Amino acid sequence: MSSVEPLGAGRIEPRELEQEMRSSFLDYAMSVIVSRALPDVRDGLKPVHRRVLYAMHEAGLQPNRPRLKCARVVGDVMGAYHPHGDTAIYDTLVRLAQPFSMRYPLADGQGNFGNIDDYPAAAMRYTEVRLSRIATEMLRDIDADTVDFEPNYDESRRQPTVLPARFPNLLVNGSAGIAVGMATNIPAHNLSEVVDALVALIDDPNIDVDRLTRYIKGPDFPTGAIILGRDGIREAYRSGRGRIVMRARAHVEELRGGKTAIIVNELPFGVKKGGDAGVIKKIADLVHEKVLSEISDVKDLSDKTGMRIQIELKREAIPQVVLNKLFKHTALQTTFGYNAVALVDGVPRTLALRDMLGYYLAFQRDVVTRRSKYELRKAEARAHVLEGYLIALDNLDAVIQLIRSAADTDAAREGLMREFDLSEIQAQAILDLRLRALTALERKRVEDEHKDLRERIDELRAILGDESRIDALIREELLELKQIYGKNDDRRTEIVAAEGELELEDLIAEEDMVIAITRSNYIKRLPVTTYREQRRGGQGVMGMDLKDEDYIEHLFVASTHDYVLFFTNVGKVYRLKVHELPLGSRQSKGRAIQNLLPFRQDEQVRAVIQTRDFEEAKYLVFATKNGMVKKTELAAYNTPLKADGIIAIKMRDPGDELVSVRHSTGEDDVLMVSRSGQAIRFNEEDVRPMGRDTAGVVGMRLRKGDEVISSEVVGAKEGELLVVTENGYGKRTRTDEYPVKGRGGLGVKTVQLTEAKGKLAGARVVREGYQVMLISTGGTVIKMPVDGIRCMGRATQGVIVMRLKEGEQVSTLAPVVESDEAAAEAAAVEPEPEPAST
Amino acid sequence: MVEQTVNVKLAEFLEENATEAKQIIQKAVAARNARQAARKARELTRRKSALDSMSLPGKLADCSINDPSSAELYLVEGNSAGGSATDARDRTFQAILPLRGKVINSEKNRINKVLSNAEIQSIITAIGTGIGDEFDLEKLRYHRIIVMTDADVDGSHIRTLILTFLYRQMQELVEGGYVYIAVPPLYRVKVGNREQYVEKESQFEDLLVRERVKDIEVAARGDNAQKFTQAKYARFAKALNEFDGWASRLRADFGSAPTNFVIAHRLVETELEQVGDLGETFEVLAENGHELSVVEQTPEGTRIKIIEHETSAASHVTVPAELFASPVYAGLRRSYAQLVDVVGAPPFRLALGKKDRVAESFEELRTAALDLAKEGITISRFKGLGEMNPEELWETTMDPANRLLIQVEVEDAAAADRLFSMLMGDQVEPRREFIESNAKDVRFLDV
Repeated sequence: MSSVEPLGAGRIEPRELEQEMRSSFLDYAMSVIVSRALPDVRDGLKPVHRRVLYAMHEAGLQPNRPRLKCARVVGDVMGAYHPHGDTAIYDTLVRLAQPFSMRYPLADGQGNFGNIDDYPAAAMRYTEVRLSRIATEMLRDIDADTVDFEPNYDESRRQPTVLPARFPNLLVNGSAGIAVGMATNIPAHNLSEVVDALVALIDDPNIDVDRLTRYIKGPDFPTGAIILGRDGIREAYRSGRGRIVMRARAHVEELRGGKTAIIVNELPFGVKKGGDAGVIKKIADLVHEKVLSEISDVKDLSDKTGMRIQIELKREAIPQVVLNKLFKHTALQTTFGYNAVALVDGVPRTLALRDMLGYYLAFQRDVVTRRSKYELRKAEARAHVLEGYLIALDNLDAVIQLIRSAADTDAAREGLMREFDLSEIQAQAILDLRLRALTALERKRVEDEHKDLRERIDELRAILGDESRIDALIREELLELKQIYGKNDDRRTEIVAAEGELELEDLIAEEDMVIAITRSNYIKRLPVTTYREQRRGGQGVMGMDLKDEDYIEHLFVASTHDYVLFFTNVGKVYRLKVHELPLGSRQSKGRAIQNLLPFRQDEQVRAVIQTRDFEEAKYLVFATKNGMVKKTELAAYNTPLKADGIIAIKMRDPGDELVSVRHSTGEDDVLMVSRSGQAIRFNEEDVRPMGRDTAGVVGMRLRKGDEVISSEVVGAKEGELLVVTENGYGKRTRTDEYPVKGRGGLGVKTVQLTEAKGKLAGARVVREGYQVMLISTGGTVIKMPVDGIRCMGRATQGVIVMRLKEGEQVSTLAPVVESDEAAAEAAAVEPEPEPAST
Repeated sequence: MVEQTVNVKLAEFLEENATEAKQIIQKAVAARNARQAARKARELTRRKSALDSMSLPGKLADCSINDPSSAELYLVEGNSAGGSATDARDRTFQAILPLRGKVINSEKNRINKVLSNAEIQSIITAIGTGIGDEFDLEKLRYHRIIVMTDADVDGSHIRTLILTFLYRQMQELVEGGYVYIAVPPLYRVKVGNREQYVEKESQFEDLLVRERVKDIEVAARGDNAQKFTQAKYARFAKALNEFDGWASRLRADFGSAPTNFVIAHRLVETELEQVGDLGETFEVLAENGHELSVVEQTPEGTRIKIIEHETSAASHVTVPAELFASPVYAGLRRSYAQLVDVVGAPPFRLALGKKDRVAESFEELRTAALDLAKEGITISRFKGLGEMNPEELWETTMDPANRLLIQVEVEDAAAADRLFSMLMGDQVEPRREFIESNAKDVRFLDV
């Protein structure tokens, strides 16, 4: 090579690091995106697949021909079209032949092509391969100028830019690939269903996704198994992205000796059975870790009759619970992250189902149009030649005479063209005729052929001139495909309705819990049984390691399967299952609620409602600081809550805050108390029930500077309203002393306030035997039975209930639960859960 | 007592302020990782000083010279190319370190994992400076660190990976201008008896134009054949670039079908005052083997039927009225007119010697011209360093008398820092946005 001219003297060019990184990275990223990792929307193939199939086509590896060593095919592909590693090409080829990877394998392999246990295929010098029958449909008509060709990497030959793909390969076989900054994951589908959808789209171009899903029910994986729920599929088809939950097909069998076993016959797509990454290993590990302690043995009994994973259970195990645990903890339930990205005109796009079908159809129109044009050109060329023959046959003697007398071929050709007005092509064809063409029989054949050709030409022109006839051809050819390949090809993946998320409940035994929530929002739960065991001399919840000034504000008993709704000052509600609450020991202080719920800054719990099935009460009654009141059916809160909570009551004024939430029957009264000592009582029928996301109506009108501090639902049962002022005065007043009026008024005086007594600090409906807690701004806490506070008339001043230090005021009045033993006992005796409202 | 109180209160604070707690923990974890990385780096360098040359990576083919200021280290992609580079080099001052496969991404992976990687370890020990806080420029063993990768897109990727590591762990090395990129040739071209190397795609086109295109005769519509001179081609290529830009903007605004229609059927050649006059406009269009007719006006625009004379094939296209009014269309027409000015209007007939071609559009004119130009010349495309003989590699890429080196410079460290996090970091979304907004700047795509 020393003859090659040097590039010139050594040179050094500066380049900015940023610039170098930018352009090098873009080159790589774009190449991976447009010519490596993503499939084309038209044929569903990545370049390497296309090259493998085309090279096999060129090598004549038709389904009815003998197979060739894979090494030969890999060599052809690498040398002619794909200058990359041989293992990458062989892996591609192997995958095309694996019946558990491809719904409709495009290669027909002989030898060990690997298995679902992640065993690799035999080396390529052992295995043999040819095109599968359906792969020939990918290539059909490729020689009829149906697709564009481009030079290969060294410009020594030409390769197709896309295959004619006479069946919708992208949807039918799916695709998966990771590019740079984007990826694709399209599941396989049933050919018959996709064909039906395409036909429907041809018949009605405006068909929507809902109607398309009547034809395409969902993905149809080569490995069968089960898809759980249609919502994920719907969303994926609508937007191009979605999550589809797949489950193994499993059933329970009685084994000899009275033991039971879970038998798995089909795994979700992409899940390996054996090997280190396999599901069997995972199950075994979980058994060792005691997560799946109910399992006594796992055996892989798969054989030539099919897959059989036998999971043997201990005698006391409940098969359904174990199965649910398996779904929860292992790949027996797996989510397919649907992400339909494909190249459209060389640009990656996320595609809805309709887009994918639409682009395929547009491509097929192009293919059929180009094929028809090609056929037309062929036919016209042949007809042209035949017309020359006919002229020659009509003037047979003159033609023979002319040829015989011609000096050479060129002279004969020119003579023919001149004498009989023939084209060069026709003249040459006549010269190439054999003598036997002169027989009468041959003449008849030429005439017939010419007539047939003319008819065919007219038909082709008519087809090309009418787009609906092109569509009809596509329709016909697709239905033919369905006939051939859709026969004996039922859907493998069963789609069943979602039975709701696999809730933890299915894995957790139901058990009664005592839940304690403190004033400063620490929460914990502990089993009721803990109390029963150490009733005598027990420490009680007050043994809980509380911060100073903290105390238990809510204490109730609920089952692990019950819900707890947390309503916050900003009007949002969050939901947790009791079993999701932190399980504490008797001494532990639990965890701050902020750690369990995604609270915003300054968001605080204002009310806690416990419920099992949202039927404990008819309504919830909300009240806000600004006097709004709203009534909403409790059942309206039985929605799957978003992680960041949902709106429980809308705050019309941004400064407004939720004050309380109470159960009501629909026939109770509402009693609202304001800071300046006003109280209003009205029938809750005055407040019409509203939806969840509403602001409600005015319950109590407030003077400037006043605010609602408490709102209670007063039922038939008698009670007293306890009020305490900022300066430590308080009294009880029977609730029936408050007149029932219309809502929206200023209300009546509930206490005679003076400068010395201060404004109201708190108000509560209490009954004999209740205990309350008073807290001062200085942090002093006192607890007292309400019985010790005098019961007086409505417009009286009250008596001193808490002596305060100089400068201090009462900040909070709250009910308190003295003894958790009482609650636990109550739970043991009363089956009805305690009302848990604040 | 103080400790106890702090302990209790801090625990409370962390419990009640989950966000802050998480941040504090993340900070602590990051600090620990950094500490571990520093220790690891120290260990690596210490091992080196204890055993010195013995600890140099076994794959390193070191040079004989001891003076770092004239020594060079080639970081070579792939073992196979490492072999020919070793055979090709001048062993007095050129050292070769072959790297296997894709180097680990030091931006995305945890530093401990990066430093456990054998390839990274051999780079660190070969360079000798240590990394991070331990970096000591005095210990640099070669003053030229040359990254030599294949001239394909995977080579580009490996280059970005190596640069990422060098910039993140040996920043002073990059800032000091010690890092270079070797530029292997893309093509060896033989025209007549002369053989030459080409380093850049643009140079290849230049060469074709210089050597061959100038002899091509081009006949535009209704014109006589003229030579496609070098100057003419240069103006044509520039105008075509601009035209492509307008066309792709029009495609983005109105879709590719209407855009292709107005170009292919020469609507861009006519003054279009009134869109309603489309039918009349069709009358005056230059003949191109198709018959056009207006089918109907729809809310989307004018529906037009196209019939190809040769095959009677019919197709339809809907052209929105706004297309003709858009400034992009005006720009497209201007640059079309400019192209016509330079080379005449399509279709074109090209001839070079006995070969000839027909081009229906400007784009086709360019590809047809280059295709014709390639006939009769021998082109070898080098995709990998391994495709070259050692002598070739020496001559073209490693010989200081002939080679081209790119010296990496850092002008804006902050911008470089951001770019590395975006391109190589673990956040996918910014990378995707970057790719989408820069897709048009791609230099060449791999096949």
